Amino acid sequence: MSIRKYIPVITLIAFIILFQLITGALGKEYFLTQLTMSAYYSLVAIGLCILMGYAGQISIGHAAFFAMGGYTASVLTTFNLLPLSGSAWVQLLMKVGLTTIRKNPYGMEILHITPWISLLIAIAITALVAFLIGIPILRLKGHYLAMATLGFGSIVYRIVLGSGIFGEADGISEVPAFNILPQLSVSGQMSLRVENYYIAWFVVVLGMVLLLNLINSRVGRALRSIHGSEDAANSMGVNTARYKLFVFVLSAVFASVGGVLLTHYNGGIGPSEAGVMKSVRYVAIVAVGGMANLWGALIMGVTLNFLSLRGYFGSYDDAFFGIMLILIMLFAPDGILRKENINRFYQFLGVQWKIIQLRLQKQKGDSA
Amino acid sequence: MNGNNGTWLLEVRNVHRSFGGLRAVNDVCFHVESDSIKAIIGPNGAGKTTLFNLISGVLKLDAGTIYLQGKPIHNIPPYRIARRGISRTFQNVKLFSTMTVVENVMVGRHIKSRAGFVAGMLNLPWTRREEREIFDRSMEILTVLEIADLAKQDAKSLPFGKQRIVEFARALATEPELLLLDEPAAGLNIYETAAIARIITKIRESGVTVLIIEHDMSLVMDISDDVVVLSSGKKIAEGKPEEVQRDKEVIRVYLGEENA
Repeated sequence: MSIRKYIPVITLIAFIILFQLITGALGKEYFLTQLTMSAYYSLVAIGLCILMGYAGQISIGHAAFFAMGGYTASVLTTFNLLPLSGSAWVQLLMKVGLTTIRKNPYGMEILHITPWISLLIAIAITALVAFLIGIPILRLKGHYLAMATLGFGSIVYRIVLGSGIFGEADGISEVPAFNILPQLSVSGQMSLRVENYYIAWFVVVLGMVLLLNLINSRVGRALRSIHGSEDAANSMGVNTARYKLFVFVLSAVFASVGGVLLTHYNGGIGPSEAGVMKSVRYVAIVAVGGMANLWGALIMGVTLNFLSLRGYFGSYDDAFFGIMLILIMLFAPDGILRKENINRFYQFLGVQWKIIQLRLQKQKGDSA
Repeated sequence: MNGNNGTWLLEVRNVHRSFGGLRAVNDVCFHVESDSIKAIIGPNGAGKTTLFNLISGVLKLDAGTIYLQGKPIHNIPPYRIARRGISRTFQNVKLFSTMTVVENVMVGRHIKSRAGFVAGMLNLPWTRREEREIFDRSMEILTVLEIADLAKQDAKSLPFGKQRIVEFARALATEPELLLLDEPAAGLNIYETAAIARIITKIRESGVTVLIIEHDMSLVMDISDDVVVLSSGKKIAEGKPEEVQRDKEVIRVYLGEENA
């Protein structure tokens, strides 16, 4: 087991810790909040990267899966079962330990499904929907698939926007913290900021490790072969339809986990999380990072979301991502964080360094 | 169901396939014996590649049957055909352009391995062992075909002749009973063609039956045991290369009436 191939992940972990220490030292702890949120958004990006970059299938409706996760968690953890506690099935849920009681911000007692269970249910629902949607639409190619995913995203957006149970335009708020372990919870509380930063990034690192393993495995190869030539892949025995479906479901699950955790962190969710602008944002992030570059998707996911959340794009937030997507497609369709570009960048630096050295030598020579 | 002594690896019986009003394959019958090299020749548009696509599951039959070792294989999806023991190459070389040479061949080992999504993500010990085996086996094949030195190169960066050989390696990695080669010599010069001829003979010697579509007559005459001639979707001749070469109908179809 060579340690070499773990260097990137170890570097990532080092950077994570470094950023936390730096922000602490500089007194800019509030950066951690945006970095935490960016981490959860990046979960969507890396899942989408596998789908778009490796399996070669596009989805401009992925925000829908993020929203499915978030809204499911919200509804299940805010729906008060206390009035129904007389009925048999609620009694059963309580007995099995699937519920918990807490006080909501208004001091009222609420009986609801525990966040752990609601997470599992959210994942299950998202996986099921992705599976059912995927079967018909993954037969489509290119822009037909894109339009189908766009349509799907619109449907989910309209459902959450228009349904009373989902809070219509206001969304759902007062979503409780997620007690992962007795001493550890996903929550927006200021005092738990550092803790939550590490929780979020732990989840991201875990996700990265799983996906990196997948890419380098037999399945990863099969996915890349589908991307390379679906006909040839089929002829070599790869069940392309099934693999495309599984990857679609996997990427949807990643998105929904991000949705669940961010919703608990923010304490709520709104319909804009399901909107097409968010979906375009995820696609733009994956495209800029380099379609088949998982690290690129992560780096761009964090960077661009961080800048967006800090407000650097002002009111032109969504426009920025749209413009970026257009520019990337025109000038660098394979993304900008590609090996060749990075090598060229190093070469450029190397040349600059040489020039500086020569100038210094010349100066020395002149004054000698 | 072979109808005979059972040495027929492949049997194509009364196969029909049309596209709109055009009969691409019209009532074609032939068989391929194990451990032989059979060539399908005929003018352009005769239906040869359509026939390959029917055998390899890319297209559905309109009528007729195809048997592999006595079992029906028509109208089965291509990925299942591969598992039954038929592998193929393509007329315009469909390598996986984003992958290296050895990775291309490793995809050929797909049906001989089993690590799935969960095993892949968790990178379990048995999965790593299997990966090692897949890699080693792929390198073996590349070595036999004398292109092991190209293993880590990007497939798309190779010269065309080498790309063809990589496609051979990939198809062989599936350990097929029957290998379908679609115009393996197309676009190659005489040296490359001779190399291909050597490779194909080697393949047959290793126990794989080969069915080739080819236009290069020297290659066909050189290495095939049997030849089938198609024209406008119909079989017009079948037999040993020398016999077929002298067949009047074949000559007429290739060279025109006056030469018959």
